[in-house]
Amino acid sequence: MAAQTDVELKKLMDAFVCVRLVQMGGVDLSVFQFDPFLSWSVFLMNGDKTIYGRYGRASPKTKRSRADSNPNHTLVGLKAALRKALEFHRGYARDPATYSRILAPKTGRTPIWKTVESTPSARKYRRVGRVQDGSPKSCIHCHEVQRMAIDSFFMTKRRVRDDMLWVYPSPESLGVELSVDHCARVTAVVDQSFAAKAGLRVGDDILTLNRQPLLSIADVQWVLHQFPDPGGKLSVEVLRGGKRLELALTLPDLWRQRGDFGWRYRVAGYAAWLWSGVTLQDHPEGIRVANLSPRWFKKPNPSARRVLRPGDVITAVDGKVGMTRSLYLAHLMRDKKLGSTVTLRVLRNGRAMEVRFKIPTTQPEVQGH
Amino acid sequence: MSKAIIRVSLLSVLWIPLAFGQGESEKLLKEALGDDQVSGDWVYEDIEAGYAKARKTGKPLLVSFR
Repeated sequence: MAAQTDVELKKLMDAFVCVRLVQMGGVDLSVFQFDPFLSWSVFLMNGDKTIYGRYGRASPKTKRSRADSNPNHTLVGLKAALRKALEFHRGYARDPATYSRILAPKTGRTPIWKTVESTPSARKYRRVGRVQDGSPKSCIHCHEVQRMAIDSFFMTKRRVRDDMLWVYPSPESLGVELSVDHCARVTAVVDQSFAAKAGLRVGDDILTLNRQPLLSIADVQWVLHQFPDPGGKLSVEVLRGGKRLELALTLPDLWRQRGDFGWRYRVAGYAAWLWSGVTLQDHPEGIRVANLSPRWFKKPNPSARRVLRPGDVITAVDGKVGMTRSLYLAHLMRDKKLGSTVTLRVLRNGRAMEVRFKIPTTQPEVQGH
Repeated sequence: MSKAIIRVSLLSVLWIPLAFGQGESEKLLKEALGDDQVSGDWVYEDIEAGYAKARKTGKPLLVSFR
């Protein structure tokens, strides 16, 4: 957040009613759905709960717990988002019927649990979501919301969905980089990527994605987060040289699984990281074991740690080859039962071998940071 | 920063609304969160008050989670 010395920002902020929520208790998750790995997230919306857009994102570049040093946020970018939100606000006042229809997809599907404190996980650990009796342990932080949802899925014998693991796919997963100083301006396009095949070019301003108007990169991620796994056509409206163009991105089946969620250790991959017992990196020949005992883990799986060594390269998991670290972690989360055995084909010092470990018989402890 | 210091800081910040009246608690919370130099007119920890104020003033809302 910037000081009052920025006159333009002050003028923009004065045009809003600003609310700061520090604790997640009581927050309506049918309205406020955002990237859980954030250090800072902003909703720009109407008093009737119509959402204009989101600002603030997480990426592998995000430094832990440091919103002011987050390379994904800039004041210039924030101001661009605020200006665009004010534009939507004026449009909504002028033509509520049209804007309601356009903005409706910015509100997500109704979640199973409307508040985080109503999840089975929160009830189990007696987390009320707000400080109670002076204990900050009762408070639930933003980054814990997704983790507790996954824990609640385990507790209620539901299968974890891909969109709970590969959450808020980044624009980079389409093969495009966007400027942090603009709403959604293209700064790079990777050859042969989905974005390149759609005809996106450097300098394009993406105005809408899947018909949703954008005011930030977070909005792009919101659209991708909502887009189904079977893929399909994703419409893109761009402003290029003063002209509006309609493009179409084609996303293949299981497009989401091409991304990486392994860096989101605090959120989606938490249980899987504990089960894997090690830290992992993608490697040209498979998945490399980077470390056995990360100090910020509480109870990494001892069975896995006994059979794996730093430097091992996992080339097959339960007979499946071509696994990335995210596919491996998802396999542990989605496909394995408590107490079951995982069989790994491993390259150790250039020698191939097979190792086995067991998934713990109890759910991982998901509380704490 | 050690975990103990973080816990004490969090406790002090989050206790404030419980220990003081609403106006005073907001002022103290703002200071404790380092928001005393932040632009804009802020409502703390009360989204319903934010909705009501937005409807009354005709302004849009900026809701910050951090």
